[in-house]
This record gives sequence, structure tokens and C-alpha cells, in this order.
Amino acid sequence: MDSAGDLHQGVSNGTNTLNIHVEVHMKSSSTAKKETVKLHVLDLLKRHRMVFGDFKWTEFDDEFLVNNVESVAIVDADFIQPVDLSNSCLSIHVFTLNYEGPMTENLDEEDNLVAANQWLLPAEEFHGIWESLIYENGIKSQLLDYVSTTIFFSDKNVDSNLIAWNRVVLLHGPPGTGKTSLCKALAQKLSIRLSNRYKYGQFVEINSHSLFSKWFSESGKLVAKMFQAIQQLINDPDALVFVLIDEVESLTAARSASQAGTEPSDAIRVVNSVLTQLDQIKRYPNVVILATSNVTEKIDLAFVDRADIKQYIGPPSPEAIFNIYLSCLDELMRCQIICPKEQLLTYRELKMLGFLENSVSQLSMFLRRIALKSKGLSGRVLRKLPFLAHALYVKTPTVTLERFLEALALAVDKQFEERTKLTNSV
Amino acid sequence: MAVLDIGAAVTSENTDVSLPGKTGAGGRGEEEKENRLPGPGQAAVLVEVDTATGGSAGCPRCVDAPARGSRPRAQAEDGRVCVVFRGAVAHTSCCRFACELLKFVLYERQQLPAPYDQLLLLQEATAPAGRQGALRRPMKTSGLDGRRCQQTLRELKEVLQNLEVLFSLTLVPRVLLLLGGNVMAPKELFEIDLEALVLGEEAGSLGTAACLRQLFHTLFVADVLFKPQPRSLVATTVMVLGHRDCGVGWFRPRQDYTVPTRAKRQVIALSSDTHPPTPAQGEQRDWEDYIWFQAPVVIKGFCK
Repeated sequence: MDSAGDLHQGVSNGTNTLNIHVEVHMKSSSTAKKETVKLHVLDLLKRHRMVFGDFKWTEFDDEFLVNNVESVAIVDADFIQPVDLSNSCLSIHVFTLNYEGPMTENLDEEDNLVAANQWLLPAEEFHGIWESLIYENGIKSQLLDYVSTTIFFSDKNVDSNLIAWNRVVLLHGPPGTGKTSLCKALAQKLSIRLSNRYKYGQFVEINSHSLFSKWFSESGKLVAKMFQAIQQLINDPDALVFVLIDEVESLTAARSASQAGTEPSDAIRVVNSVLTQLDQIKRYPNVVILATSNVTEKIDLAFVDRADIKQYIGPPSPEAIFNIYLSCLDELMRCQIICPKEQLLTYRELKMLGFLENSVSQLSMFLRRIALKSKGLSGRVLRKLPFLAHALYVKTPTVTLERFLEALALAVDKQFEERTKLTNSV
Repeated sequence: MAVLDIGAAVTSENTDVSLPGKTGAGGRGEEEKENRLPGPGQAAVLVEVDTATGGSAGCPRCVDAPARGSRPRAQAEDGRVCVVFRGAVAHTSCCRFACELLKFVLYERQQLPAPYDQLLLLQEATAPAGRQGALRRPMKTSGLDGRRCQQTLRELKEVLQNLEVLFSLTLVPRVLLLLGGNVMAPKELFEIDLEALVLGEEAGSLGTAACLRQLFHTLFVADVLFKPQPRSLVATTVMVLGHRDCGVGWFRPRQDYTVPTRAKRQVIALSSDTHPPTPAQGEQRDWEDYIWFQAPVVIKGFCK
């Protein structure tokens, strides 16, 4: 659909026009038609034609947008040059969040153990995770492209006997690097991106421990029952179903281990059951299986083999650490814990300046030094460091940015100190 | 389905295939239903409906209706029960239909250990004794899980009150009661279809109580809801179709919502057999502007 002006919306026509995704988050109370919202957003974008990367509008002049829209965001723009929107192809995704929270699925009537949590996407709980995850080398866009290709292949009716793809993504790496969060964020993102194709998304998080029965030989059946429940969701062609198997090694422990007699034979049945069920599910175009693991060598080879993408998620690089800290500091400034508000330079801007230290870049360079020092810490630790810094070294309700950075540097030192103590004592 | 059972019973007796109720479903069919019906709880519901009706025998033609008219008119197909009222109904009655059906379904699907109104009474009785507390007969409530019970009753009360508000703001052609799962993939779905009802002025319409009696009479006879089997406790969500611009605040609009087709579905279709008094009412409404609203509160079932 072309707007009245010269902004284009819709699928790119194959030429080298840039495809830009615009996500419009509608207010949950809004009853406006999506087409109307789109028109107003196009209007807004027409007024702000030049974009320099990701950008998010939360305040509007247009009264209609004030009443109906929470935010308009240009997302995942990986261009370096400023871009004129009139020359590019716009995909506008309008969405509202689901506020229900997870629904639980019990397999055993007597047992109250929850076998799976189920979210309707896009879910309020997963909102903002995608932006908070910072990786290098375009890992996020690769994963997005993978799933898009999966769906593209299914659309084109590619014979899956000739070209095989299993719809299984395995994320592995050290703890605290955001594997589980990435799975949730990916599902959220795709349910928004593909909203014109699939009316809604379902996210099922399997609780692996619930699938082991106290009764011998029942475990395999429980797995089959679980997948039957998932199958029912998949049967609706309007639904895009994501199945997350967290810590997958507990469900698909290497069967070779059991030959040594250290695993009961029931565990083998579970692995067999999972593998056969996966093979059944992959026939459907609207399902993606996401698995995460810390210890890949424990996973059965047959499962690893089925995963199309085995993505390693490692600890963040200094650039990613810098960006993580930057987002933390922004949040603290927004909450007025760091006062007065000061603008820090981004890593890209520092790079362009050649990492020269002057009066403008002084604090940003300080932050970069902290980031370099923090190398080796996981994302989970990094996100809690600003909290620890405030708790241990600030001790006043509000603080200047410079003072806070000093505290942050101390907190990093302490983190490494604790770590060496922990390893020495072992 | 149980509906088919009735059909089969009638057919075997009368060899009349057309409608289950048409021949009066006399003889064996009737007896079978009599046998199947009771169970103490269900009897209690019947009594409750009857007492509700008792006070207001306002409109003679509709009090007669259930006795003579409704049986032949109650058409029960697979998963669909039609209730035809002999005249227009008041706007406020529609709300009562939906509310009563919600209470009924919750009880019938074993999400409440006793009918809602009875639970309210129980709750009142167990509440710290007021002035009249000493006079009241002490009721046995020891088995009831107090906190869970109160929470569920609070949720249900909130939903019922807000349903009333929504009904006063907009015409409601459809109400969904979704049990279990989530709104897109529920375990069971009840659809209350009010589209074919002719709405009239309060004065010239059928009495609410009489209509309720006819409605529940039809449901009991059609025997669609009674399946004595243990059920797990689930969450119940209420969805209401209403006008886009009705300005309701409590309900959340769900624009893209489509009624799930894969769940076990039971439609209760209410209609009037009279023609709308003014052509304005009968003219094609713009259903485009009617969207689904979801109650932000789910009703979690509880047992004793």
C-alpha cells in the first residue's frame, strides 16, 4: 500500500531499496483500526524523513497517535549512513501486547507439577528483551533471517525430502549470556514481524523435569503427551508456535552414557521419544523449536544433528559491554538516580573520533576503560553491576555520572576479586 | 454428544427423524432424561431458577411459553442449542442471560463447588457476624477453601458487574466463555449468540425471569451441559463482542481476535420469533465496527 506521499510501504520489489521495519506498539485500550494507525504513522514518518539508525518515538504532536499509540520505533536498522525514508521500503508492523501472563499445562491429573508454561505472543512479559540483549556480529539478525527463510521455504513448498530443514535452533554457551532470554525475544520479535501472516504466536516453555515419571517406562509416554498438546496448537494454521526446551541436556542426555550403566534405561526412552516427536513436528510450517544448553558435550549427538543452527553465545565483547553499561546508565538517568542527566557518546561515535580523549569524550572514554576491564564477565553479571555499585559504593540517593562511574569501576574490581577467591578456595 | 443421544432415543421410539422435541419426546425418551438429570447440585440450580421466576409472573404470554411453546422450538443440533423467545426481550435481559449462563457454566463445569448465588450466601453467613448474625442458622463451611473462594468470588463479581456496564454501553451480539488453555486455544468454548434477539422497550417485552426459565429449561432438556466426569480446575475468560466506540474502559479490546474453531464448542443461540417492530432495527448492521473485548480478569476455578 502506498501512502498519499512518497513513502512506500510493503514488500521490497527486489531492487536495492532498503527494507526498514517500523514497529508500532498500540495502547492496550485503543480501539482504532490498524489501517488508520498506519496512515497516521506514515504521516509521522513523512515529517521525519531522515533516520540515522534505530529510533523510537514515544511523544507525538498528532493527537490521534497520543491517544492510540504507545511508541513508534524504527528497529534493527543495520545501516551506517543516514537514510532517507522516502527511498526505502517500509514494513509497518502494528501490534498490541497480551497481558494475560502464562497459562500452565498439567499433564498428570493427580500431579500438580506444571509441565509447560504457555504464553500468547506478543506478550507483555517479553517486551523490551530484544533491545536489552546486545551481541556482536549480527547474531540476532542471523537468527531472524534463519526463521524467515524457514517460513519462506515452506511457502515455496520446497520438498523437505530433498532439502531438509528441521526447525530446530540450539543456543549454547556459558551461563548468564542470555540464551533463554534470546529465545523469548526472538519469538516475540517474529510474532510481531510475521503478524500479517500468522494471526498470533504461542510460546510454550517445556519444564523438562516434569516429563520424568516416577513410574518406570512412563517418561517416554509423558513426552509423547506433551508433544500431543503442542500438536494441537500447531494444528491451527493461524498460529506460529515456538517451543522452548530450556537446558535441553536434561531431556536429551547422551544415550551413550547409559550404556555405561550410569543412566537408567527409562532415560533412553525419553531421548528416543523426543527425537521421534521432533521428526513428526518438523513437517508443519508454523513451528520453531528453540533449545538452550550449557553443556553441549552431554547432549545426544542425534539431537545436535537435528539442530539447523547451533549458535554459540559467548560472553560479550568490550563493545557489547560498553553498550550494556550505556543502556544501564540511561535507565538510571531516566529514573533520576544519576543526576544531572549527561549525554554519553556511543561506541560508534568514539570509534569515529579515534578514541581520542577530550573534554567531550572524557566520561565516555572512562566508561570504555571500565568496559575493557570487565571483559570476561557474563551479561547477567554486567546487568547487576550498576546495582552493586550503587549499593556498595554510592550510598547517597542521587549521584553525579562521574561519581557513579568511579563506583562502577570499583564494583568491577570487586567482582574479579570475588571470582579469584572463589576459584582459589575450590 | 448428548444431544444426539436424545435424538437417538426419540428416533428409536417414534421413527420420526426430524426434530428431537417435535413429537413431544414422550415415552422412553422422557424417562431417560428424567433418570439422567438429577444429582443434588443440578437440582439445586433448577430450584434456584424457579425461585427467581416465582416473584415476577409479569407477562402471561411468556409464562405460558416454556410449557407449550418452547419444547417444539428448542432445536438442538450438534453443539448448538437454539432458544426461541416468543416476543421481544428487554435490553437488560440480555445482560442477565449472559451473566446467568456464566454462573451456570462455571458451576456445571465444576469450577465452583456450589452455584454462585449459594456461595455468596455462604460467604455472607461466614462473614463476621453482623447485627443479624445470631439469628442466622449456622452454615457448614469448614470444607471451603476460604482465601481461594473469596478470590474467585471477587473476580466473578467484578466480571459480572462490568458485563452489566458493557451491556448498557453497546449492543452485544455475542459473548464467549472460554475455559482452560488461553484465549486463542481454549479447552472448551461456550458461545452465547444474542444476534437474533429482537430488542424491545422494557414495558412491552417479555419478563426476564420467564425468559431465563425458558432458557434453562431448554438447556436441561437438550442435555448438552451435563457430562458427569471429573474436571480439572482451569481459568475462565470472558470475551464480549461490542461496538468499537462504545467507550468501555475495563475490558481490553482485541481487534484481531477470531473465535477459535478447534476447541470443543457449544453454541447457545437465543432468538425471538417476532419481527422487529421498526425496520431500523432489522436493517443490516455494520458488523465491521464490532470488535471483541476481553475481560482483563480471569476467573480461576476452585474446589472445596
